[in-house]
Amino acid sequence: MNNSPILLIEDNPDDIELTRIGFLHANISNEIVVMSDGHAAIEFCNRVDRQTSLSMIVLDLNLPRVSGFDVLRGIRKNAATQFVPVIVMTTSDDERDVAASYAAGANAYVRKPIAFDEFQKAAGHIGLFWLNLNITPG
Amino acid sequence: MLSRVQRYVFWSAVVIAAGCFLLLPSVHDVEWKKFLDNVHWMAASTAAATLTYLSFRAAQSDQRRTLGWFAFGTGCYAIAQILWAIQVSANWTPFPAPSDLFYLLMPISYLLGIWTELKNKINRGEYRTIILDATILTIAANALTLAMYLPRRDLATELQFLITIAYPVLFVTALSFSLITILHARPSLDRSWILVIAGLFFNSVVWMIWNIQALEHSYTDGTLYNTIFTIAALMLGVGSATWKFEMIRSTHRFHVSDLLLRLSPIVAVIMSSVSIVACITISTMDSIVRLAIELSALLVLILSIVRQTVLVNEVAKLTSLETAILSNAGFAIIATDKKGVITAFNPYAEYMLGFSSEEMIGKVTPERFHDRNEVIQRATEFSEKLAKTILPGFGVLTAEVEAGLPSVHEWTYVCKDGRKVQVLLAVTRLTNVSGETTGFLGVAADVSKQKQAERQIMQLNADLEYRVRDRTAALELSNAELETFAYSVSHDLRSPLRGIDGFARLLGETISPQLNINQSHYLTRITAATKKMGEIIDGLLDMSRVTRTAIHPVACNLTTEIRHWIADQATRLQNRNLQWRIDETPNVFADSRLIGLLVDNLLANAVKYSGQTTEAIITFGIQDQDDRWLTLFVEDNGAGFHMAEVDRLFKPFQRLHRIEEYEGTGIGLATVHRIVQLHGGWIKAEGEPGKGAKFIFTLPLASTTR
Repeated sequence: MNNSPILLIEDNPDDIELTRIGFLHANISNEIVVMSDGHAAIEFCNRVDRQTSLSMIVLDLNLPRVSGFDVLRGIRKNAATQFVPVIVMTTSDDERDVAASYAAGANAYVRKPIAFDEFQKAAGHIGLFWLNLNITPG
Repeated sequence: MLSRVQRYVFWSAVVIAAGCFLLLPSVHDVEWKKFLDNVHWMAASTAAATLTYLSFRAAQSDQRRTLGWFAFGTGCYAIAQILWAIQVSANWTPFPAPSDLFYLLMPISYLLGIWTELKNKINRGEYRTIILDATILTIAANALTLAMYLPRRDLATELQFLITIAYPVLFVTALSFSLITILHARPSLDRSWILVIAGLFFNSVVWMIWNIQALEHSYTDGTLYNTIFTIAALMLGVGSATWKFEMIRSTHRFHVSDLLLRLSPIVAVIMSSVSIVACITISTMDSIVRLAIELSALLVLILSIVRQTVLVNEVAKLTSLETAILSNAGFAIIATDKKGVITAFNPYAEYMLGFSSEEMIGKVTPERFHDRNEVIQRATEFSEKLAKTILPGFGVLTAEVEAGLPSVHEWTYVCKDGRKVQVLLAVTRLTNVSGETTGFLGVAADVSKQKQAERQIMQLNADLEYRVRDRTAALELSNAELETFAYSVSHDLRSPLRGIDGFARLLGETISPQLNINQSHYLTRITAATKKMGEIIDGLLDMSRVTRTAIHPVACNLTTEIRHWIADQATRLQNRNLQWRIDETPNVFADSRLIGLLVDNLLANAVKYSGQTTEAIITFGIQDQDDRWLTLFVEDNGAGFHMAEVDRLFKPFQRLHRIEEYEGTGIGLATVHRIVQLHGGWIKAEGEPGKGAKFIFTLPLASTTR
């Protein structure tokens, strides 16, 4: 299991807390770093050390200051984070958002379920796959 | 055309006659000469009778009567010839003889035959002039005949003389009638009637000469006349057998016929004059003869005058019609001479332009009221079109008709008071009998009002276009607003909802042991309410997406979509006693994503409302099909609905059942309705409470080429 920190880029405090609880319930104990606006998220990524790195990035699209797509492009441009799996987790299931996310380099796209039990299930699946099964270069 | 049998008959007669002609010069015996003459006459006359009779047998009804008379005539002629031959062989040649009676029946029959044709082909108006013309010509020609015969009347008995004179008189009468009729009817130039006229002509000439010789007992060598007589008989036969008399309206022949007809009274008057001169010069003539000839000549003159009067009346009738047309027409009718000087300017032209006809006729050309700049512009246009230089002037108006082209154009007239009128002007060439240009005629209709209406329509169209653009912009704006709204619904409403649900559950989990029944019930209600609201938001999102996105139609299959849906829902439906009857259907041309949504909503609906039926059956199949549209249906035997409520079925948020009975957001069928509409189709529902519901909808068929 990859134990590096998870970067959660999300501005809604409710969703931040629910995501934390969701991962916790799914027995994902990685450190969770939260960035609540796009600009801060990019700054943070630029500071990340290649060695310490990140295990995965969970990204909301609807962000203040810098949009989720720009953040995603910033992550991919940065050598330290270019191969880190980015899971777009957002409320929209608009096809254009899905397509734009993949075009900008997202590894997965998950729509946040409203019901908490389903949300928990989703968090569990994400952790299991991207932290346990998935292999990334470097 | 002659038939095969007729051709045999004809050629046999020709061969026999030719044989006789060849033998005659070498025969010197009078009896033999008589015999040979009689043989070729009989051959020719019986051949003529046979040919005509065969044609009469085969004739169509409209020609039957004419050919019947012709056949009768040639038949009598043949009988006369046979009788004559018998008389000659018996050496019994009294005068008059029985054969004379039959000979005389021939011209009478032809006269009647042509008369019949005349009545068939010519209208009543012309009939009078024809009778007059024919009578005048007949009397004149017969006056001439009388002038030749009457001086010789003492040479025979009165009966003999009467018979003798009857020959040329009857033939000349038939000939005159034929000529006049043919000229009036203006038939196409045909060999048949030329042959008939020639046959009659030669017969009358030969009879006249013969009879005069007979009266004077001054027989000369008759070989030439005998030959002509036989040839004339054959001409009559072939002409009658192939008789064709078709009216044509060729302008050229019209002029020729008219010219000849106009000459006919003059010819008649000349013939009468010759007769009178003959009377005066022959001193031996007694007063009775003189009187008869002079009376005939006088009759010709009177009839000629009557004819001209009748014609003048006809012309007056036409003129009054023309005047009526000119003065009451709702068009400006303007005639000019060859150079363009106005010769007619009708009252409407005066009304339209404000000029009086006195100011116009004989004084100016239509250039006077044409827009000068337009004339200059058209001069250039027409010069290019006709590839010759046309100077701005009257010539511009007539350039096209002079080049043999039709000329109908819109022009601008400038009225006396300076007002401009738009007209549609048609120009034609006026010609004389020989087709030379004598002038031009212009008919102009005022189209100013149409032009104005046209301009108004164009203005209205422009306004409409502007308004449509305006409205479209407004709609685009509100569409964009709707899009933003849908997006914010998806983000901004869902997020807090998730918070409510998540924290309510967490609350429940963390303090569940301390909760009493009421408290945990409240938490359950909160969770249920958030779930419900989530569904409503998702439904709204689906519907707004259907409305705002463009459709991308491809060939897709509803049967396949439905099977997939059933497979997907298998676990959810495993506890239901549900029977599916799904038919195969052809491909439709539709947006596959929307079709998926349509199938989902329709089937979910059917499944839901058949939930309380013990043996639920859901059917899908084809209701109807044509070459462009497929009409499909989805039917269940569930709760159904009252037809009175059918209108509310497809409206968003309208529910026909209480929420406790059947769950739902009330958006699904509204979405289905929009999907079908987006594809150009329609949807309707049929139902009965407790019996079930049937949804019938159309979608465009995918053609095999797509």
